[in-house]
Amino acid sequence: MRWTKVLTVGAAASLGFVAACGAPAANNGGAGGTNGAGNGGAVEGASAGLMPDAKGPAPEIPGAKKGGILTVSNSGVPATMDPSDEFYQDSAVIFSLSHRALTTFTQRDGKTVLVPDLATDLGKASEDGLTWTFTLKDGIKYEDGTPVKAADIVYAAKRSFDPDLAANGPTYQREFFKGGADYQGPFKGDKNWKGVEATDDKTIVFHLEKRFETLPYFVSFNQFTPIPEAKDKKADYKLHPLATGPYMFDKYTPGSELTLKRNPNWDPNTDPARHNYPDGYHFKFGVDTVKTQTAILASNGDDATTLNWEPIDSSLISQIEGEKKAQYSEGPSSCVIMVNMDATKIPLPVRKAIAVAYPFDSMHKASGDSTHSFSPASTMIPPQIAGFQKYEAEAAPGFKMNGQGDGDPAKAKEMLAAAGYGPDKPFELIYYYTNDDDTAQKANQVRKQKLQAAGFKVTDLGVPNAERRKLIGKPKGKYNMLQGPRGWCFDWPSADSIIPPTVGSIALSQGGTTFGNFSDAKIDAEIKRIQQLSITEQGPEWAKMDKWLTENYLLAIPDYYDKGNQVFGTKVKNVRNNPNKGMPEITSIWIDQ
Amino acid sequence: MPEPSATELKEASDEKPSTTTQQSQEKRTGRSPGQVAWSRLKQDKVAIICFVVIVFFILLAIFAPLVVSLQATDPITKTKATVDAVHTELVDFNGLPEQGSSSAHWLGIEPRLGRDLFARFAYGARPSLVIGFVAAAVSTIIGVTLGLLAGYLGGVVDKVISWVIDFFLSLPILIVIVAVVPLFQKSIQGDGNLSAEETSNLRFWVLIVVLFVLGWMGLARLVRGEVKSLREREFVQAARAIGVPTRGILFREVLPNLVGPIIVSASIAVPAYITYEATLSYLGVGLVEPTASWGRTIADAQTLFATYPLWLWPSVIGLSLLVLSLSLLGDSIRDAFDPTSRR
Repeated sequence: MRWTKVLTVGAAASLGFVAACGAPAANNGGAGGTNGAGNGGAVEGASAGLMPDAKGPAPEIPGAKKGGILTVSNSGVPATMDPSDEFYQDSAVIFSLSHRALTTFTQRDGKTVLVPDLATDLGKASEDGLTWTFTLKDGIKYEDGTPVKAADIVYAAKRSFDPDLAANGPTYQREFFKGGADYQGPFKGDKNWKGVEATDDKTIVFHLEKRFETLPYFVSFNQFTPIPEAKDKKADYKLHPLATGPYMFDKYTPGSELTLKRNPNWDPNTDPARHNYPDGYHFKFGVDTVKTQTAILASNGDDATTLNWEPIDSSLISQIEGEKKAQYSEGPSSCVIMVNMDATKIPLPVRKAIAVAYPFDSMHKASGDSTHSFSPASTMIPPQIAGFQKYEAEAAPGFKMNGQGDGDPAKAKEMLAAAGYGPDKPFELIYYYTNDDDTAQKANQVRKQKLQAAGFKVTDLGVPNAERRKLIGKPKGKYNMLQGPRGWCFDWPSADSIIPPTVGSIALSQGGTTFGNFSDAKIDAEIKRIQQLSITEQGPEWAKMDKWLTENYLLAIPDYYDKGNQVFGTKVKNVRNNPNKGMPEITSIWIDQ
Repeated sequence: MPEPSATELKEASDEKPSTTTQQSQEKRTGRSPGQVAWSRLKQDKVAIICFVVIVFFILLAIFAPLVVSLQATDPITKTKATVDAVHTELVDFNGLPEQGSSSAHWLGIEPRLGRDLFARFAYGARPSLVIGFVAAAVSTIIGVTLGLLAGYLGGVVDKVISWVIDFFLSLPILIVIVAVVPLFQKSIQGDGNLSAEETSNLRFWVLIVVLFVLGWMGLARLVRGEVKSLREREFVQAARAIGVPTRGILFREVLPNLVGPIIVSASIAVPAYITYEATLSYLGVGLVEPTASWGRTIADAQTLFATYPLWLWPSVIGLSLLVLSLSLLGDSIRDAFDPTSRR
């Protein structure tokens, strides 16, 4: 159904979800395993290994040829091309071609690793973990030939605090950088703010408020790509951000298209992550998805060198499962979708009854999801995260919560009766749904009728999508379920970018909604305990906490793991899904002419 | 044109109240334009067929619950189909129905949701007909009233009304409606506390209001022109001279001469509004779930036309047939009222 699929996921999302949907910038981690079918089993390849000694150039891809222009056509339009404001999956992929940050993700031996990019290593932490030092490589230049200085990255980091220029960017820097909580950026705030500083032309020092073991991941974001202060045109900088990667902006028409050409000042020997096989890229925005995907599968003329990364339309499924199999790839994305509830308004026994009643299969059918767009989930942490442990918690004896099946209304009724609710005194569920989108309206009909069949009284409040995002993002709303976030997409492949931002009072204190809208001293203490551990120890502990949360609190019901889909022409080679993002690994694509 | 009506009006101005004289005069001068038109319509085969089709749809809409309940009980769901109930167990995992048309579902079931398509079809005739007729009636009343006033009073009133007519005519209707409906709805509903059913009801009335507000101008202009020429005719001047009040002149002298054009205009407006309702629902600014509407069904069904054509056909055929019948009937009425047409 064209863009409605995108819309329902987006529509269902809160601000937090959308923001977090921006996967890491300049993150070209390779796809180790592009296993699609994934029934919630382990997924290889998105581990968060560190490789501090990786050196450029990136290892050649066997058989890859240089030349050609890759066209990338999608219905989505990037929200912005300002590096400080960049926090979206689509623009992150584009920036991975043109912009380099301190670190970046790439693929080595089938595993995704974090490697130094502009920095010589992955940073050195002081003993107390509160000071991090990065050193720039020699010979890094902008597209115009001027050298990159440490002060430029410091300037970019400060710029990411600007409330206007970087309104939609990530907020980790506010939470962790010293004095970041109320810093207003270099224009409105103190220009000489000391949270990040350059001690000389090559050295960048981060001063932290508290330990931030995953800082090396965070500095792979586009907020840490250099911006020369003298050439910063503020709001107009997004029209032509100066490139450090293998490609630079050629022509950019916001809202419709962007062309990239080769950057002569990029030195492959300094870059362990990127290739530059095509001569250039042509991004087209706002196209019709179904038409584009149909044309790409037919692969006539320019369509043979075109790529589309939107969910495959259900009308084309027979083609990509049949004779056009080679023109399609899919794999996990960074997002897990949940059925969120307000734990301050719905008591635990009723939350469990909702989990028993929830019609997962019917909702997928009504939303037009296919087996290519999701796999059922039973956890908050997706399988590709290091330390992942699969579990299926029970909402009632013998009823596993695994995102499958169509609910058991009879059992839910019994549970409601045990909790003191019956036909004469039904429990009322109140939620907002999108009423300006066909698919969302239909899905709501299904949800409403199925929940009513389980004995709930359902009050569905219809509002337009844009408005709904605001309403479900307010902590004290009229709703008692389906507030934001609809799900969560990790920012780097470690669960400390999943659990702390979505549960507990710290997440709640940032002013938005969370899973459960719930704060509890035990949850907070557990988060704090795990955050103090070293990065390698954290993984299994987060997985344990995930299970503990679902079994004892059930703040949100696991729904499904999202998938990334890519459709491409016959001449486009080596397209693989990046399991960190659900987007194609674009820097390793080449064109067979 | 109005030779006979002029006679009629002479009667009125002659103030001969006795009915017997009227009857004898009618016998002498022949039938009224309405009677002429009616006798012509009765002989028009196309008009009769169209009339039958329209009555069929009206009856289908009125008795939708009864007709739908004639379907058999579904063996899988163990219930009779209703217009709203979703039965996702009847569709496979990619959302396609697992069965075609059957005794339980005469027109099959809706992909993805598993609702009964015959029920959606029968109930879908309701909003089309109600919106078509109500909007046409209201816009006719507005158009005639303003046209009469502008044409007869002239002067400032005429200038103001003509300006308003021109202004509304200059608006690109479809674009204005697409822009106005959500705003209109929002200003009524306040801060978003309506359920799906309430939203749909609200949309229904908003649509009617928007359609007649933007649809009365053509008729108003037509009436204004006619009235302007009638105003100077002898029978009107005579009525004025003997002191008949303006209201009396407008409604007793002028209006009866306009019955033909007004009926024609209204009969053409009904299918136009039905088309608008379907178009707007198709574009997503019309009716919303859970109301069944042909326009919505067409919008939903077109993407799956290649795999499941049964979803699209009934609504398309129903809509085309109804609009065609109404238009042809309107055409026949126009012909019947046209004194220059001879068959």
